[in-house]
Amino acid sequence: MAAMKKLERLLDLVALLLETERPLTRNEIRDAVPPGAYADEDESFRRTFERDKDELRDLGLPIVLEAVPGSDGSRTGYRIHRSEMEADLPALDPEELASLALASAMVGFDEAAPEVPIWMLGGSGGAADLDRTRPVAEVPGDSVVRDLMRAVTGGLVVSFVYKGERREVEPHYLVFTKGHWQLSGRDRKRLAGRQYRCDRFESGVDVSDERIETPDVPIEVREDHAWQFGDAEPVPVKLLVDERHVTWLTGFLRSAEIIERRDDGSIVVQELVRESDAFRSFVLTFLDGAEVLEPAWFRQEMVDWLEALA
Amino acid sequence: MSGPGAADRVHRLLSLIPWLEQNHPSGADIGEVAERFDYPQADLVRDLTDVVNFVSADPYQSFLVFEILVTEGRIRVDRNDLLGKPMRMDPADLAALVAAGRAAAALLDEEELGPLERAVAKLAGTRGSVAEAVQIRLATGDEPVLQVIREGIGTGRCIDIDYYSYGRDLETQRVVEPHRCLYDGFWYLMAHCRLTDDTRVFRLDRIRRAELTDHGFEPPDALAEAMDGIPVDGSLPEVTLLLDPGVRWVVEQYPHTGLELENDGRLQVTLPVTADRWLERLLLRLGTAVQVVAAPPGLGMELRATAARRVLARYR
Repeated sequence: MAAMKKLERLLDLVALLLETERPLTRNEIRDAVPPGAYADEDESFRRTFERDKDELRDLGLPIVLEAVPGSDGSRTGYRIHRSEMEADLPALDPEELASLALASAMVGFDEAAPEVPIWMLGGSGGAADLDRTRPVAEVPGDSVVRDLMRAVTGGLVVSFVYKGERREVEPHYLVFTKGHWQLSGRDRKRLAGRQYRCDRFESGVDVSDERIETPDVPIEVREDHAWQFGDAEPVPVKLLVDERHVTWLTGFLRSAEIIERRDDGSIVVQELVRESDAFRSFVLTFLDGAEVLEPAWFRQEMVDWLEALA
Repeated sequence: MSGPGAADRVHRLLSLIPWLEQNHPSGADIGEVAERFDYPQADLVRDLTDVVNFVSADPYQSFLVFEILVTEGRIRVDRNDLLGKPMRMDPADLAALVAAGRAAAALLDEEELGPLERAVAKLAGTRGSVAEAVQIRLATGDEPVLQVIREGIGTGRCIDIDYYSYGRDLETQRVVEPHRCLYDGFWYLMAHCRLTDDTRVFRLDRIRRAELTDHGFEPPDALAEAMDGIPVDGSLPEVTLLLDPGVRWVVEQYPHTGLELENDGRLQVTLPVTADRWLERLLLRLGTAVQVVAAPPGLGMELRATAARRVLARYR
């Protein structure tokens, strides 16, 4: 029966805070809900009320604390503004709801994140259990990611510690790519665009109330390979790759141009390289399954590097 | 008490009541409503009749805000003076749902796409362009390979693959019993490999060819929910390396069993070695920025020198 009593108390509290025309102090709330909802004893009432308030806020109910009119700010009270609680959610038909339920089962967030409640849109549409032929992607969704989602969608300035330094960032995009969440935005100290890998944050995220201006040119999350970063002039490099690497390499490089297919199944690709150290490191992952053909100076660098280790 | 807790039930009721009023003014089947909102039916009947119908915004319960009729398996909202519209969804939830919907679209069959695209467009529309701000990009890999695997899983038939093993730097042909495809930075197939008679994980972009065979297999009762990482329990051989500060990415990229910062800023790290070829690659890439401090026979500097000579041979 305790759970029924709590459900009753929470619903009465929601009704009261929605219907009131001015903020209600804690004691006014105690007097306004049906007798017996809260304990008479002050400390016990305070604890229960605080817990109720926190649980309702966790559900997304916008319970605000405001000055009580006429009290010159000396007294504060609680209420829910209807306009902040309600939404014009789109009407989805059962087929659309089922497809969303399927989508969120296929691309789900791990245990650290709360489930996205599709029923808030009008129910699950009776989605069937995911059959085992479906590919499933689990995306990490810890509190850092949740906070950043809120900040990015709300356009709110965030701060966090990254590479030993506190950063203040106007967030533009939050993108999960290659197995990691990346945040892009404008670094307020450096006055420039930056990208941060979220699993390398060294603190939680503070989401401020400060709203950013919509940027004219938002900072995009880049998926460049390590050898494509930097300001150096890009150099076309020709790489001969054995057949056993061809499938994954062409998918991995994406932008590389295949300029020759040889009879033994090997290919020659041309990739634009700004950072030759990074590209050398990549080429070495093929061991003897690949070979730099051109330019000659880079081929010689490969030889020099290997001779120093041989 | 089974089912959702009190706070969760509040959440569901605040969505359910306006939804019912707007979409089913003449009432709806209670079983369907319970299923839609993931609310145990008996709990829903009891909560509506015993609690919701007595909610009021005053201490004397003189003005009841709801009147909900539950009768003969149906449920109808006769009065709702409290909730004009459904509860707003957390913008982070909405963004996550839109991002998941867009990412999943790439994994669905053509004929399944329509409803999902419509749903995503409707949801994205409620947030304007901001919905684009959160994105999930899953490289889908080789579509025909994925299709063959799905058919194999669905029909319980083995597939014949040419697979490039990165650890051994070798391509092999093998017959596998496909169980499941999972994404973890890349797409992977979990399968029972008939060549090794063991459960193995195959990266999809390293499957060069996949063909369905006529050999059937019994699907396992329980499927692994996730992939095991590289064991750091000492079951694999280990090497201890001394890394210059400039190559500390090694520590971030690979699981390790020991880490010490030296006085001169270098890092001493102990790494499990999954395969000789893996260690060869690492040592060649790091060049002179690494020293091998300790290694089992055959896994030290001589491994690096042999590998360097083998690669050099291509350039001569």
